[in-house]
Amino acid sequence: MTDQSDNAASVRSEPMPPWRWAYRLLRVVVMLLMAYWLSNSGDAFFYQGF
Amino acid sequence: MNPTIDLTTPGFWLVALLAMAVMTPITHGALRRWVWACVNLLFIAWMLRLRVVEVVAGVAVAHLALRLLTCRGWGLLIALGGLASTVGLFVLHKLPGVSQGMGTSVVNPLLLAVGFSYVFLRLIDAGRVIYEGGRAPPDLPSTVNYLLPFHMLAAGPIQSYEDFVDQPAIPKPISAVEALSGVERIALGLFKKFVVAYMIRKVFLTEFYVTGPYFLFEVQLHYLWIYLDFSAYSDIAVGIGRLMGVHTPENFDRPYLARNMIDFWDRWHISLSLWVRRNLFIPVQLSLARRTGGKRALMIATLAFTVSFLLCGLWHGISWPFFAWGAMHAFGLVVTNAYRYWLTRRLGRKGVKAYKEKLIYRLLAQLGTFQYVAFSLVIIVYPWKDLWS
Repeated sequence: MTDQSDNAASVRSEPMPPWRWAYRLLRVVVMLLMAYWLSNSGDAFFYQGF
Repeated sequence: MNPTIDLTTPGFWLVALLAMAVMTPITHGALRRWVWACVNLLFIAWMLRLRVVEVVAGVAVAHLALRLLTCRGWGLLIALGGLASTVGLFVLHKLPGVSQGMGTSVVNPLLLAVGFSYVFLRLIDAGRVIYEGGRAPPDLPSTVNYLLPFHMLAAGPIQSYEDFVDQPAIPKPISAVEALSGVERIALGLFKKFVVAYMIRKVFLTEFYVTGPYFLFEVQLHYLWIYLDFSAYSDIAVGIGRLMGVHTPENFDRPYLARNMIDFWDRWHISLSLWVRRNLFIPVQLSLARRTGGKRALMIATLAFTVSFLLCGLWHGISWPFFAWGAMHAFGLVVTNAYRYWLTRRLGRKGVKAYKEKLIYRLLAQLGTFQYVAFSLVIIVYPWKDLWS
C-alpha cells in the first residue's frame, strides 16, 4: 500500500468507461497546465508584498 | 559548479520522451540494455554537462571492481579497497568547497558523478550484494543503467541491486490504462511540486525568521512542503519508469499517518530506509549479535539504530544540523523500539493489539510523531548562524 495504491487498483479494473477516460485525461491536462503556468510565471503570479 | 537536474527545462522531458520512444518497441534484452545506457549517458552529457568519456571511465572502474568482487582470494581486498575509495570520494565531494576547488580537472566530473548521493548508495548496495553472492555482477550497460538512471538521479528512489537485476529483461507491453496511470503520476508530481508545494513555500514559509505562534504554524507547513516537494520527484520518476518499462520503486506511503518513528521510516523515503536496513542496520545488528551470542537484543538494536541513523544524517550532508537530525531520528527509533519491547512484556501480544486499535491512542501517536518529524526538519534549515550573530 503506497500513496498511489488507488491508481494501481484502477489499473487493474479494466475496462474503463469513456467518461472515466475523459475525466482522468482532463485532470491530467489541468494539472499540467497549472504546473506549467506557475513554473513559468514564477514570482509575478504572487502579490509582491508577501 | 555542481550539476543540477532542473525539471523545468525542456531537455529533461525530451530525454524522457526519447527513452519512451526508443525503448518501448525493443524486444531484445541486450539491445535494450545498451539503448537504455546510451539514453542515460546522453542525459549526463546534455543535461548535467559532464564529460561522457570521464563518466564512462568512472563507470568502467566501478564495473571492473564489481566483477572482481567475485574473485576468490581477491574479493575481500577488492571489497575493502572499493568501499574505502568510494566512501573517500563521497566524503571529499560532500565536504564544502572541495569539488568546486578542483576546477575542471579529470577527477572533478568523476567526483560529481560518484558524489551524487544516490549513485553512491547504489554502488555500495551492488557491492554488498555481489560480494555476498546474492546476485551476479552487472555487464557494462547494466552498470550504467543501475548507477545512473536519469529519471532517478534527482532525488531517488534508490533501487536495490536485487530489484534491478530481478526485473524482466523485456517488460510486458503496457496497456492504455497503465500508460494513462503513468502520465497521471507525472502530472500529479508536477502539480504537487510546482503548484501546491510552490504556493505553500511562497505564501507561508519565511525560512523561520519568525517567532511565536507563527513559528509553530510554519513548522507544520514546512514538513508538508518538504513532503509534497520530495514525493513529487518520486511520483515523476515512478511515472516515467512505468512508461519506459523500467521498474522504479515507490518511495512514500502517507508518512503523515505514521504512529511512531519506526512506522514513519516504513512510510517516508522508503527506498532509503530499506537501504539503511540492508546495508547498515542488519550488518551492525548481526555483527553485535554474533559477539554476544544472541543476548542483549534491545541493547544491540539500540546501537544499530544509533550507528545507522547518525551515518544516515551525515549522508545527507556533513554538517552539525544533519548530524543532529540523524541523532534525533536515532533517538526516536530507539525510544519507539524500547517502548514497544516494554509494552509487549507488560500487556502481551494480544494486549498490544487491543491497545493499538484504540482510536484515541492512535490519534495521539500520529500527532506526536508528526510533531517530532516536523521539528526534526526544522533543525536542518533553521538560520542558526543568524541566531548566534
